[in-house]
Amino acid sequence: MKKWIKTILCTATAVLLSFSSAYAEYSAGTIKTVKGDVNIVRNGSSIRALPKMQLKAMDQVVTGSNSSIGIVLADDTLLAYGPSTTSELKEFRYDPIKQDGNLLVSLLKGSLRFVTGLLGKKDPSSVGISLPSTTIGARGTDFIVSVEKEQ
Amino acid sequence: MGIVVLLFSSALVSLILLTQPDDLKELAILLPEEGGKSSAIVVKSGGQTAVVTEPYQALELSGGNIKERTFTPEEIQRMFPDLMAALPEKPRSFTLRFEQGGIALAAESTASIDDIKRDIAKRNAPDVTVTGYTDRAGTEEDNLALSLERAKAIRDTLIADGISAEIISVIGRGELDPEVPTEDGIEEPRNRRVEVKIR
Repeated sequence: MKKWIKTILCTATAVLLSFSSAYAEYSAGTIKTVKGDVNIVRNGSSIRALPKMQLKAMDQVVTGSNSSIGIVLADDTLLAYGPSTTSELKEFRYDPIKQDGNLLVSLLKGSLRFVTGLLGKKDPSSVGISLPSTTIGARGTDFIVSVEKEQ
Repeated sequence: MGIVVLLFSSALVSLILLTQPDDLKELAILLPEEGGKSSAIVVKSGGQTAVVTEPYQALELSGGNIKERTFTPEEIQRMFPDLMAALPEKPRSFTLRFEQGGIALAAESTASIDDIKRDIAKRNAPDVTVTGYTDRAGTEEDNLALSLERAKAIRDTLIADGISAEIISVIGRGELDPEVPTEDGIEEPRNRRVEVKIR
């Protein structure tokens, strides 16, 4: 192969690899702590949740009674889920260079504490939490949402 | 004709009843922001919108109605003990600075590596993001590449000091988000930096 073609290919590969190493860990988030019985449902399969596990968009988190889990998303959003909770990371896109994207978490039942990360700080409208009959937008911030059957 | 109307309206009523959600109570509680900064949650439900802006104010939705409530920190702790304990530790960032044009650490930044290692050691399941930045001297493309080189140099230092390569990711953000905004082409030592964020 001509030397100059080789040089160009090597440079292009090096540039692509350096960008991909920046994106290689592109997961939506990481599980930090698990208490009790928590599963991640992904593509119809249920996986036991463990610390250090990487999460992806569309993952569903299901916690048992007396169970809870702590998660940090790629944009530094902090999530905690309480017992008997079902929640889905419905949308998550995050560009770590531009620090933009969008995040939508749904809470079907149970409880969630949400501390906004970079997405929410840079563009509050890019972050939403949906409950069965409600959507929540946040400016800031740190909040709890819960969904339970009427007593 | 009357029977058709009757059948149709009972079908319609049944449809409405069947599509009612379970009787659910939905609650959103605003918590205090660090440093007392202002924050708010905006709640939209069934065409209504409501906002709370004070810590410990809440909105409760049930039967299609939105009601404003207030909780004390103690009540919240009683209602959600596991939830409150499960929130992950806040990320912590360290800023390291560089000499102009290359990857040599500025003198005042060399001590931070030990602080970084100590913070990593304190956390369970830590991960580290090393993000490089430059000032605006030089082209944007060159600076994007230089910022990534700076991030990698710090990553290599952390690995040499025993931090697992697996938990470290590197990003170059070039001239973006300067600490001190400047005109293009201006040197600014405060923008030549790497942020090490530990989560």
